[in-house]
Amino acid sequence: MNHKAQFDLARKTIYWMIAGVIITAVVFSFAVVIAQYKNNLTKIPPELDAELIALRFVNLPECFAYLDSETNSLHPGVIDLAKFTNEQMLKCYRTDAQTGIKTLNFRMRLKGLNQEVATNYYFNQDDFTLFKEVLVKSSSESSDLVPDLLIIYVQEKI
Amino acid sequence: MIFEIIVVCIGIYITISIAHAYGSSLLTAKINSAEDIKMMINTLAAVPGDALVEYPKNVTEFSFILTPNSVSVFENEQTDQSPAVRAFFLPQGYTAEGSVIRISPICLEKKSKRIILEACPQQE
Repeated sequence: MNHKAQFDLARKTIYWMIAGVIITAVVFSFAVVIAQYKNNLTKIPPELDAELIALRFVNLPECFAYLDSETNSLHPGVIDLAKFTNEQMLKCYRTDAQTGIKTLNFRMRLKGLNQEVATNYYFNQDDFTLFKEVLVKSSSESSDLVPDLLIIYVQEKI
Repeated sequence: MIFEIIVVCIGIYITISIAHAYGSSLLTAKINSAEDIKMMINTLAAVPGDALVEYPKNVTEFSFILTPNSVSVFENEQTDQSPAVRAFFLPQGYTAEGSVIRISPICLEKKSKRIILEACPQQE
């Protein structure tokens, strides 16, 4: 083999070593881009998820909605202050130990009364906030309903 | 010269194969169905009283399994190794159950504290 042929062979070997690496990287990048595009197609806005979960807080007697024990009628949108506790929050929305920090967690505050409750894996990492206008029934003896603002701080996964 | 052409053709074939595999699969529809059912369950759980809601999409390609903590969507219930699974957390005392295999339309019904996944009742 003469010098020119040897030079050509060496040059092409080096070229294809580099080109092989680059082509492989391009193909992998292409697969990653498509996978990311697919993830974006299936992504649900966390605000929507949180809004749907937060519906239960003011609508269900198992959460904080006021249930008249005499007439057994439920009042959605009316917070029973006697239920506004962390223990009731655990009955309303409780995440498990394995996935608790990877899912939505909430801290709720009644602005006027300055009372707070939080879910079991809430760690003060607020990502966004929801607001709900509510009425608050402070005691079973009184029939007064006090308007208030329910501020819901939402923590996405940590 | 021929070697370079072969390499380029192989590269093009691989990238088109990857794109075709993602484009022709039902993976996105499967995941979207699981997310939709999860959101429907969270909404139903918040509805005081009983309710019945129909899932409007055609889901005859999929099978669904609903447990108290999650919904799983299978493309082929016997061979699908990677179902789309989405977890949810119901209030205390609430339960979710039901399964449907390649039926459309499907409905979610809330009866008291039970959420049931089933084929929609026939309309008369």
